Amino acid sequence: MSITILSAAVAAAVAASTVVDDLGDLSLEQLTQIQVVTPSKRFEALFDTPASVHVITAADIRRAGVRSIPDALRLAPGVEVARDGHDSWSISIRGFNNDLANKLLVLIDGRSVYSPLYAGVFWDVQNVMIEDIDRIEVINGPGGTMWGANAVNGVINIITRPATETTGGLVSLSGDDPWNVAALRYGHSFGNGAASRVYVRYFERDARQHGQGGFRIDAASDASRHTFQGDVYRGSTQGIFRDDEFALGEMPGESPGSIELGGHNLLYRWTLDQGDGASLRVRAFYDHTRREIPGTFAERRDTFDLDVQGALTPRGRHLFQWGAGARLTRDDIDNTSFAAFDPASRSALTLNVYAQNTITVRPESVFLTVGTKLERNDYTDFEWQPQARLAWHQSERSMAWFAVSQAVRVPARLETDITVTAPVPVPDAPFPFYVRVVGDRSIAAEELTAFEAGYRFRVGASWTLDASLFRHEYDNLIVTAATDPIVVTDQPGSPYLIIPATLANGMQGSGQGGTLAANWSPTPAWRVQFHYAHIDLDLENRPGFDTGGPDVARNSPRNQYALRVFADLRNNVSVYAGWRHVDALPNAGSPGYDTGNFSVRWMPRDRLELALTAHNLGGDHVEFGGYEVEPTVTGTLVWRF
Amino acid sequence: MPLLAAIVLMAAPGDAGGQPLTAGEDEVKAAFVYRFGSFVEWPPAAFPDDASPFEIAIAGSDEVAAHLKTLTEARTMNGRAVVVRRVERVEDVGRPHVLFVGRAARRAFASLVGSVAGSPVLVITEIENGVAQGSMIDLVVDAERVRFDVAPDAAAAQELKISSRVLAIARRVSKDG
Repeated sequence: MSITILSAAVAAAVAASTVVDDLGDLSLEQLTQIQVVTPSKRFEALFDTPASVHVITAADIRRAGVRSIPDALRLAPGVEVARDGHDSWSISIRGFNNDLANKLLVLIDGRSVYSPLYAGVFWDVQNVMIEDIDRIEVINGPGGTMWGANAVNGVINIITRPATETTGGLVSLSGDDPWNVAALRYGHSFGNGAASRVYVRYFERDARQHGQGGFRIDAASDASRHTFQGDVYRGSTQGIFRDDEFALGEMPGESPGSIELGGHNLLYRWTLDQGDGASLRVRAFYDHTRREIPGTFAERRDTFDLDVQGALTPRGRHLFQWGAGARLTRDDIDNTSFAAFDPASRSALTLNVYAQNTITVRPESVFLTVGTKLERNDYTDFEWQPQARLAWHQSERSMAWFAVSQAVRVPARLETDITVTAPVPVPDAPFPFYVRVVGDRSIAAEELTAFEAGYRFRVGASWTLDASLFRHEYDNLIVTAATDPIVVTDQPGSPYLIIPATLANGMQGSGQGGTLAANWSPTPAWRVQFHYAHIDLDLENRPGFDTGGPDVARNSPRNQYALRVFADLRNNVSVYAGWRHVDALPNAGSPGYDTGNFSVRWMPRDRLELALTAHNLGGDHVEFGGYEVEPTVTGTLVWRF
Repeated sequence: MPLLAAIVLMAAPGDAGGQPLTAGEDEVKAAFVYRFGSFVEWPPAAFPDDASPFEIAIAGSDEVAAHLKTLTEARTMNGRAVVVRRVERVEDVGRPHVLFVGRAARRAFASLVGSVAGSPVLVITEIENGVAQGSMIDLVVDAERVRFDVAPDAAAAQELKISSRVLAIARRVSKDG
């Protein structure tokens, strides 16, 4: 996103206005308690970004007793996080939420983790060492210019700390009734700015088990930095699954089985500071995933990605940034009677280039960024994703921003290549009933034009306010379009009824809403945070279509608000209390809910941390699809050595 | 514009805690360098007269030097004016009260320390395992906090007495200095 350049320019301009004067009055003890951030991560950078960006910090994750990425994402305004199973979530931004939510781009240390199979994210396998998260950046709104296809309604950027900041050992144990986590990390410094770490993490949550390990190596010389990292995991879930094979005219049987999950990845990143503001970054990753679901399908996928980005030395009022990338993904699918992909194995190559210019319209005050990405993919060929963003700084304490952007979501394998034949249990039906959905190769990309505006303001060191508004206009949204049922009597076996359906660009409409985030910190030890998010979706079938697609508008809460208090008390005790309200999701089985979390953290000794966290105070509630989320109390022990 | 490059290199949009308890690493280190002055006793001979300023020499970190200059503009050290100066060459070290050796000067560390050997100069570094190499106080980032290792014996060898308050909150106290 252009915002990096823009915020950088402004951050440099305002860097002189830091609070360094105050630090001289702190005691040595207080100085040892200050969380340090690198200059680029300073508040200025966020404050000056012309987009709706929110950052979930490591400190907040720790204080709130968060143990998974989805739980962490609840700490940002505007993210729709709904737990819909023991270890499964529906997560979206700006609407369209369900377990196939497909308009988000999610990156872990720059590695894209949305699945090209369905353009959504398998949240159950997105695990990291929570203690090593540096921050999670949540961008509400499109980021296609910088990030490419799928960054339609938002980008989630999960960033772990460099190995140089995680030297030493760490043991973390936490448990509550169904969910136990054990993790071990050890980091070693080689000196001269080089360090490495290794970790292993295991959890079990009801029938779900997951073991993961990984490493990261960081090395820096004067101008360049290298990062090499990787992870490997295996997981499983026990359950009752539909049998593999069934003949039309019968209902399939069921038997116990287990979903098998696995994956491994390697990533290398090289950044070079060429001086005078010019820079270059090269990133390459390889990612393998495996998911075998009994009676449904088994998918094995390999992805290779190469991405280069650079910034040229600023010339006059112009700051030019460029990039190019290539991604090759290849899958291999075991088809079943229920779901079949044709072809069973497919490679897809995506190529992109992007360029953008940040123009200083008025020095230190008005900045305009214009740019576009041009992407070529195997599904819809060429796609443009342009944007224009304007940042207007009235002073160092207030800024307004405006943006117009276009983003696309390229169809996924699930929408172009699949044939699903789903038995539908209908009580008292005279014969078996099926829905058959067949993908369509001629489907076009979903298109978004977004209009956004925002305002940020701060008063002294104690108050900050961030407000943003958006209007999204969508076209060519992909929906399932059914046709008239057919009764089949001429086949061997008993007669059956089938509803043929296909996938089509059958929906259009708009979404509007906004977020409000207010922070009040009366003393350094106390912080009160209020978040509000509103969304209003207005979707309709395009002419010639009559589908249930527009119902997805009622999968999102019209209003969400949260109030959180973070307090550092005496005697090394910190307390967190959070409460949130989520409106009803009439189409997703949730009547809406209010719930609270409470966490107490105590450091009896320098390297020992004990915490007790109560989740879902207020009793059982349903967030999505009928799954009941229950109250629990978690005990946590973290020991650093 | 190194900051600009740094942010671009992050390849991620801006970020920040937005919390008052966060600060830049170099700011915190600068504050430490200043505050240590109150918890170390120099021999009387280190100050020729009552008007002698408290002198801090910084090598290898323009950032810490800049923050320290801002920080000490309106402050004194035990009633003395504070002078912060950058050191570009070993010959320019002179006889400060504090010598801070930043990462960029780590290759010149031995000669910098050698140039003040035998004088009451508090040597502060930001090098992992710095105390093993002759530093008296080594600032390190550990678990997102600036902590420090201290070698009181190395300081005592130069007639510097480090307060027990410093030792009490040190990450490691080196006994073999």
